[in-house]
Amino acid sequence: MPTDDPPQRSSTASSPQLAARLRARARRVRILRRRVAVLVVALFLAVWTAVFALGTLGSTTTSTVRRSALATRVVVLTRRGDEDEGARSATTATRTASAASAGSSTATALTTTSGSTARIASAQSATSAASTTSTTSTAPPAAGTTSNGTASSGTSASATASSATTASATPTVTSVTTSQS
Amino acid sequence: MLAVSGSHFFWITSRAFGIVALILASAAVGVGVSMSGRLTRRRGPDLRIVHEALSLGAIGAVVLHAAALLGDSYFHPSLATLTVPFVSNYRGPFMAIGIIAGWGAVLFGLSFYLRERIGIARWKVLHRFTALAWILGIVHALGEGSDAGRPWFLLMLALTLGPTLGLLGARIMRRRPPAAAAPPAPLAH
Repeated sequence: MPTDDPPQRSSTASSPQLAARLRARARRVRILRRRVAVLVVALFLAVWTAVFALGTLGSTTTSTVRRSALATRVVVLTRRGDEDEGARSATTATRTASAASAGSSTATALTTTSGSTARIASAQSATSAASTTSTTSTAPPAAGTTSNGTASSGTSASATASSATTASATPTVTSVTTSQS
Repeated sequence: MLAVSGSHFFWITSRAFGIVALILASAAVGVGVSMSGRLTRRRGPDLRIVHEALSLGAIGAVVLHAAALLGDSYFHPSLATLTVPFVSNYRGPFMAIGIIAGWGAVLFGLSFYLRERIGIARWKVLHRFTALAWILGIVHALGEGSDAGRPWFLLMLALTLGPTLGLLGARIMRRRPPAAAAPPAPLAH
């Protein structure tokens, strides 16, 4: 019956040459394993950085920081009248963006009332995957008088921003209404 | 960097480990194919050590790839979702392929340490299935990977997979006996 046993090497097993060869081999194995371990760690760090900087969520992570800084912006609509010093009404629209996902948006509102201009600042805000809410604010009644003498008792502006669900989506102001009474 | 990564830290880490696992597995398969097909003149024992170290690194990266997902607060998977195929609803088929590939890499890879118990010839046949697990891992990365469509990812994948696929192809072509060189059957008189 044939066997697969290796040939006996009892005469050379204890020789110093063999021991030295085994030691050298063990050293070589240690060096190779250490090199591979260093390679793996370096590779992981490089890949982690690449995913962070270039990956889908990695790049939006940067915008998350920006979004938190711009989470709440107030848009002030100022109406200036040239007759009455106190004829000034402000319509304030507050846009609140809650942070849940990535993405940034730009919303610009522009309202013009009769005879006078209302300058509305543009607000940059970030939006979330869940919702972007926009509140309606109403100016105090009879607060403003326009240049042609028409008094406006109130101005209300409502803005509704649609929510963005994806990282690169841009919410848009879907309705801006101005009413005068 | 960690502060900026914030809640995405585990997500990014998991993806990084997945990519590292794919690179290391590709390298390990490449070295293994070179050894078995004698496609290189380097010393066998050294190659075997490198192959073993790369394989262990790949298996460790696969385990960490799954384990890091457990810490992700957005995905928030359970252990069963990450270890049992077809349990997760998130991109079901590709997730299942990834889990099968991961288990295959672990089991077929670690079978090396049981080869004497299994039997060398049987183990050699079994060990070939690690290449299949590696291919399933590629499918998983391309189908489910968040960066699958990104140029840098595709470039990295091409650079990593190209040489290994070439070696695998050379190995398969070498094994196939040439039809013209086959000796003719002796005629019986």
